[in-house]
Amino acid sequence: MTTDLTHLSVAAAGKMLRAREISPVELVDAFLARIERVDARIKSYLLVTAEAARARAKDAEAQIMAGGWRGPLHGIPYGAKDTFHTKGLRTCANSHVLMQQVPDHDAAIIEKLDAAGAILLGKLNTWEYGTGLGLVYHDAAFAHSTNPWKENYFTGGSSTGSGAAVAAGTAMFALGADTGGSIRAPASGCGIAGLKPTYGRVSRHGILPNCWSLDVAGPMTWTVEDCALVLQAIAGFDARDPASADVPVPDYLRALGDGVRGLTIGIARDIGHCVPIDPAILAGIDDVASVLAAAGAHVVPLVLPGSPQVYRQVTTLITGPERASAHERDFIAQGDRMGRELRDSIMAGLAARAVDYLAAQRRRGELAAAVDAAVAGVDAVLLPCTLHTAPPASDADKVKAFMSDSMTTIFNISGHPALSIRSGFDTNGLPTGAQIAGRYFDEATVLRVGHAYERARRWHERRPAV
Amino acid sequence: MMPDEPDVVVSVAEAEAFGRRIGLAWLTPDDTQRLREAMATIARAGLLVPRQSSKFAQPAFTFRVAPRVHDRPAD
Repeated sequence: MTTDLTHLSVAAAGKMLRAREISPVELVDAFLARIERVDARIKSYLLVTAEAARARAKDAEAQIMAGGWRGPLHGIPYGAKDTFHTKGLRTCANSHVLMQQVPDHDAAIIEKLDAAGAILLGKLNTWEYGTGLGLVYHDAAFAHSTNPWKENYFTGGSSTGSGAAVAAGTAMFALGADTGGSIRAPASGCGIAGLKPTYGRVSRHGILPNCWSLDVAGPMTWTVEDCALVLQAIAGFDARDPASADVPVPDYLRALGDGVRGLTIGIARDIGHCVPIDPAILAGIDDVASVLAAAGAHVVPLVLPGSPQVYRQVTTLITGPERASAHERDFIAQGDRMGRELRDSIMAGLAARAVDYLAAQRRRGELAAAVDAAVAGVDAVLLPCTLHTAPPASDADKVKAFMSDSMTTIFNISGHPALSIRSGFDTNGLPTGAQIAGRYFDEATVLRVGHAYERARRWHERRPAV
Repeated sequence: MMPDEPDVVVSVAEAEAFGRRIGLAWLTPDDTQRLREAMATIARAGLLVPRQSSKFAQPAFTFRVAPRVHDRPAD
């Protein structure tokens, strides 16, 4: 058994908490000590709520000791991307414009985690307003997170602090939000698991909007099993989110260990053959395919429609105007206080013609139908996530390529669930990622496939030397 | 600009006029230059998204992959 509490998985810690082998106070103190020790370098947090976390840990300890264990997240410390509203706690989204914003309500996900007994450690780093490509202008309110696997390397974003915190062990799990890859790209860059659930599966009420047609919130965790545990707590219908879907939430853990024997996995090593893919990324895809095949899955070639460029053009026309619409008042009044990347994206959104936005929405529907036709024929899809491993943070061209070359946006356009998992390491010691996607609302199969690979290869047993 | 994207040029005067129209009081010459680039970027994307294939398709104002309870017809 590991002696470092910050290296436990959510699943393992939850069992120990339930059995009273550790206390929530011990666990929270271990994480606060680690944050104190490493986070000046990693910069995963924008705000640490140590006293509130300790108070909640004491409450959780008393409840568990009195026989009031609430479930597998009771007493588990986590961090939330600083675009998630938290009652009474500054939610600045790494922007000078929002530095004084203290919401009077919690985001729906925070409410659910609160009810499950999870303990918020603080607010995690993000690119400004939870958007962008991570371009290196150094003009946001706080400096970017660094990659725990290699200092001064890019994390991927925009959920930068969420990826860095889970990899560095400064949070047991984290919340992120994904418009074009903002959960999966930092998960890939930081070597963790990151799930973008089906569009509508998780409420976005109380999350700073980026693009309501594409935004999805989800878990970022060390293991796939932990993703299932967190999704179980946060999934479900919420009338406060207009896109929320009234679809039953299954038991994500029940089938997790069933293996992949008999499943049909479509493999798409590329989409559109447009951008060179790192050999280490492709080697990881081949490794996942061979492990799944050896475990009894039928791995078949699959062609997904379009190209990353097609999806990018459509998302450019959808995200720009929606972002500008959501933040127009901030921009007109205080745009000069925004960082350059956010400002440029809102400018573009304001300049878009309404007919172009509507044409992009039509095109989105067509692309979603074409992707669904391909996905519906298999149980899950295996494809690359980011096409490169994390680059040096100072290399603007490679940073942009890491984000914009990725194969994540296809599932924002289509709405299908998609999971980023680690598939190995490159020669530089940086994690490689693969992506598993599935049918609408079938996160259970996506997680089952990811879990089967993770259990076989056990990459999660390797931690960065932070 | 990607190699397959159409060339679009926005003048300084056009960018300044647009900035005034949407009420940007804080635009510096540097901001105006970047506004030109942003306008060109979005215009290129607009030119590349096809129309003819979806002439009769309605855009989804709220994209959904499943109905909500109150969207279902009453039994």
